[in-house]
Amino acid sequence: MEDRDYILFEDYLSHSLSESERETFEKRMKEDEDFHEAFQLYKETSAFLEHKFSDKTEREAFKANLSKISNAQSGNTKTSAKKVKLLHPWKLAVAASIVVVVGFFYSQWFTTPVYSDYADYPQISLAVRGEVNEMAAEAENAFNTQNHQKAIPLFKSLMENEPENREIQLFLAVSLVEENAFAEADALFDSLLKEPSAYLNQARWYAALSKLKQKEYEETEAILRLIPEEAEEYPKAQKLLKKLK
Amino acid sequence: MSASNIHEDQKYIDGLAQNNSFVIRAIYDKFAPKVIGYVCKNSGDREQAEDLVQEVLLVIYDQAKTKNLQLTCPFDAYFFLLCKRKWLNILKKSSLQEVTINEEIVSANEPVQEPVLETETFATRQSLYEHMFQKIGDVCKELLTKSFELDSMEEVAKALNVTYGYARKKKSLCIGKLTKMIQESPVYQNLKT
Repeated sequence: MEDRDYILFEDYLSHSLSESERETFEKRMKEDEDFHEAFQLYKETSAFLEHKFSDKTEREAFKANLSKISNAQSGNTKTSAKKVKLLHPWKLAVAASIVVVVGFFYSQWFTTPVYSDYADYPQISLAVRGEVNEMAAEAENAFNTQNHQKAIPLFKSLMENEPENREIQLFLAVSLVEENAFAEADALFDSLLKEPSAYLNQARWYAALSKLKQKEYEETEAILRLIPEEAEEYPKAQKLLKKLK
Repeated sequence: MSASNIHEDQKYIDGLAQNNSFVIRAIYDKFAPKVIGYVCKNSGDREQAEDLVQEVLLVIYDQAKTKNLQLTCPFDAYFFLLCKRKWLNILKKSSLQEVTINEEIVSANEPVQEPVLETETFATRQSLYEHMFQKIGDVCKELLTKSFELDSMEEVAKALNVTYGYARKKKSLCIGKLTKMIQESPVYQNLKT
């Protein structure tokens, strides 16, 4: 291609051609295969550069998010092996009773934070496999519009198809807390907290909020302390812990 | 491609393109363990597997952003096959090492092949463009960087202390030069055939 062709490509892409010039250009594209191929490559190279430079910050943010989630995931699997050894029931009982005693005194003296200050949920996008597309969309929509009463039965039906889907379990638990169905919610949280998964720290955070809503402050604290430093939820967990003291 | 061909798992692609943490976590939860298992069984370790997963997700992100990637098969099979083939390539390149391939999970699923090949071609093109951009020469490099970083060609002209007309013309000629270098490379010729 000649220099003038490249200038023409750029003018076409930036909509700087007059109508008749544009028509001539499009006609040549249809008739001249080399011209067509060169233009396609020009367009693609521009898109590449656009993505490389204009979307640089966005792309860096995506990369950072990937490593954070990847690290959290492998961190979960590594620490879980250690934890199994440490969790002797008597130690747990001692720890829990210390928390109860200490928590009791402290909670008497300071104003305590409330659930509604912390209960803000991101918009969800359900990742469901199989032929349950519509129901998932409906559940997603109900959850995102805070219609938890409607979301609960939908999540439950979805769980019948995928009993092991921790994502659905987590959202169902959150909706149950919103509707004050604590026993059912806490049972779900218990099973979510037992196993390492990509949702472990999120589950810990929302399990703690469930306890907060039930005004069980000692348990709230105990769960919050499980959230490790590298987790996304760590800063807000620490903030809430400070307020609980 | 008609809209009806798009698989419902397109939501994973969209979620990646939107940097949606919920979706990314779901991918790590559901699909990454299989890849990690495969790599660990085939001469790799967990860390290498995690890097591989991140690299593949980044390519999918890039393709979704620049080429409006539309998935026509289940994400699970697509993602796994991409990772697997990339891992086998890595092993091939580092052939000093003795390699044992434990081929248990065979994906003979036809509809998966095409999107996987498309993504691989996209990745090859991306690295070819990047390689050629690094070789294009300092003047063009600076002008193109500014052209896509700044909002308008007026600003580019000002930043480089040249006239608006010159900046505009030079931009097209530099992209033209880049496309010429790409077209002449053997990698591009290979992709065409």
